[in-house]
Amino acid sequence: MNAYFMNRLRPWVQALSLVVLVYGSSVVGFYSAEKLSGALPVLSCAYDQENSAYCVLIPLQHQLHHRLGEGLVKLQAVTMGMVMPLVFTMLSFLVFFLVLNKAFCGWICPLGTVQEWIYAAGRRLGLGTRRVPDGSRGRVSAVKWVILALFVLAVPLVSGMGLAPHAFRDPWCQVCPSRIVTTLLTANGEQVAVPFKGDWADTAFAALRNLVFGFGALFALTFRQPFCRICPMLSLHALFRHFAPLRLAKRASDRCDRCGLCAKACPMDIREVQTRVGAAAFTDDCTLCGRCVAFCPEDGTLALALGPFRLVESSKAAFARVTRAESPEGDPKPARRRAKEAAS
Amino acid sequence: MRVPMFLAMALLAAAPAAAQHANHGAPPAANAGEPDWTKLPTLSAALRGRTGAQVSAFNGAASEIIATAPDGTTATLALTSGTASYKPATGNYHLLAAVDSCDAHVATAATAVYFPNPGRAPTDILAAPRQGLTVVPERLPREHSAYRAGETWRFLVTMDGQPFPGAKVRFETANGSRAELVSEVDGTVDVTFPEDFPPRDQRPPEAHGRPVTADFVVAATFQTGTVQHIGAFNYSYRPGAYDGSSLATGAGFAVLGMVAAAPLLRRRKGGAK
Ligand code: SF4
Repeated sequence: MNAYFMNRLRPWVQALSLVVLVYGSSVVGFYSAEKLSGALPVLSCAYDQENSAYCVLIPLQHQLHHRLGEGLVKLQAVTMGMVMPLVFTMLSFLVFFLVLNKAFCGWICPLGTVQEWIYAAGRRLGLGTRRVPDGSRGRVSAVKWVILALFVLAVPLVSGMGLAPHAFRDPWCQVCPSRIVTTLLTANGEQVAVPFKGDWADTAFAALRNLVFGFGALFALTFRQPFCRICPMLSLHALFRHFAPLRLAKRASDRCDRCGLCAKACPMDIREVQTRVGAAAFTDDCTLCGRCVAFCPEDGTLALALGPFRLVESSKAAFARVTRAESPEGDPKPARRRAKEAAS
Repeated sequence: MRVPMFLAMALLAAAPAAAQHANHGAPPAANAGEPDWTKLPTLSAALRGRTGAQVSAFNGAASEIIATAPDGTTATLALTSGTASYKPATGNYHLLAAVDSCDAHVATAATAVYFPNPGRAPTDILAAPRQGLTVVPERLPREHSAYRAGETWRFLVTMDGQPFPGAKVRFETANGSRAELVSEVDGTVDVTFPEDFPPRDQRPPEAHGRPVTADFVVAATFQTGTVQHIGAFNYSYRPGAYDGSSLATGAGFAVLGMVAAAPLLRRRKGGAK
């Protein structure tokens, strides 16, 4: 596929996925958990009653809490039956998760899509683009691993064992911004509301959730996809990225040093896509959005590949068309300049 | 080392895809125990672990309960002193029904029970034709949800599998609300759950972080000659969506977050950074 076409196609795939995932109950049926539940590794919230799937992170936390945590405490043997109920129903999930890899982040996840829309709005407002400074990227990138290890895996387990308050059974979901974004999209404000009943931790979690949401929603105008940087779904995917057939492929080229447009185009501020080659260019932060491929001016240097097949390759021709419409940072080119560039 | 670890992590990541939620996501079932708030026939199902329930029938003389699994298979549970135990093989919603019939009346009580294990959605069992006068909801609440005060949900009255218009429908709640409704031409009746919970300080404490529930029953009645037909469905509902919580406070925190982010929007001198 032509990289220009892919770059144009992606927003449509994202919009369609958002409609299905956020409003999908009218598409696939009310109890559509039956059809899609857990099969798509994206942030789509179970608290949203219109949607068609729930995010896999919720049951992951609950299972660690109830099955493993409580099981350990009751001194039951931790059987395969606890960790792995029903191998067959998880096949769909495994196939999606493993084959498409992190493309879910860049193509399907509604939270990513909404953030891209906000950033696009920032372009219209003429705002600048902020990046993670090169020196801090490692630290920012580590946050998502800490969140996966602590908030999704360890704390629910410890809470299930009775060593942390019950309110900590699903700490990630308690603060997940998708819980607010996808429910607000269905005109439901319940996830914004702060409870003043029961556990103080629930009140604190809801306050924190809103703070994080408000901060990220505005920051996304000038900083691409702030939530994606710390998302535990990204780290969960990243664990498997070198086993999955879909990946970012980079060939060595001696012109990369002087160019760097790919890194500028990358919404995750990944410098390695410019500076490294081979598997090392495909980092744990990559969402397989393919922008770097579209903004690479050299034939075949960057590609999205599925196993041995190079699905989308960078090319001079695609680069020329992509850059006529927008800058690597996503700023749209004014029509006049576009016409002039086309003429020259 | 890498491959076994990969497999272990893949299975761990995928396991939740297979299982439905443990107790927390489960919609609340009808409360167990003899109801003192209605004379209409009701059923209760108290969960015993993840896969079993103790089922009881009240306000009638039914001798057995027919349990329908989401795949349509049925089990007959004999009632001993009004109770029976039910241990289905699959999860999700199961429908329970008990018929009490004599010369003077035919009464069908029904309820649903949710087992937090994988199983088919209840679409088919709610749509399947039923004998006699029956009431079932058009939809049962999804995981993480419940019937809630202030919400309107649709119920369907059928007679021998056909939509039954014009039936007198009584709606009663354990909090004391009463309403009289009539089924529409297509047999449907819309029930709005009333905001009839006592003030928060007069409610029992919330156990395990779960909101209080109250039972309700929707019952259609119809007379043929000397025989009275009753079809009832009972379940539970919760206080309203914003009960005990503040939307304005949440919005306030969101705005606070935005205020904190606002300085970052200023364009730095020297262009994009
Ligand atoms: S490295 Fe390329 S594919 Fe990966 S996130 Fe950045 S631009 Fe997208």
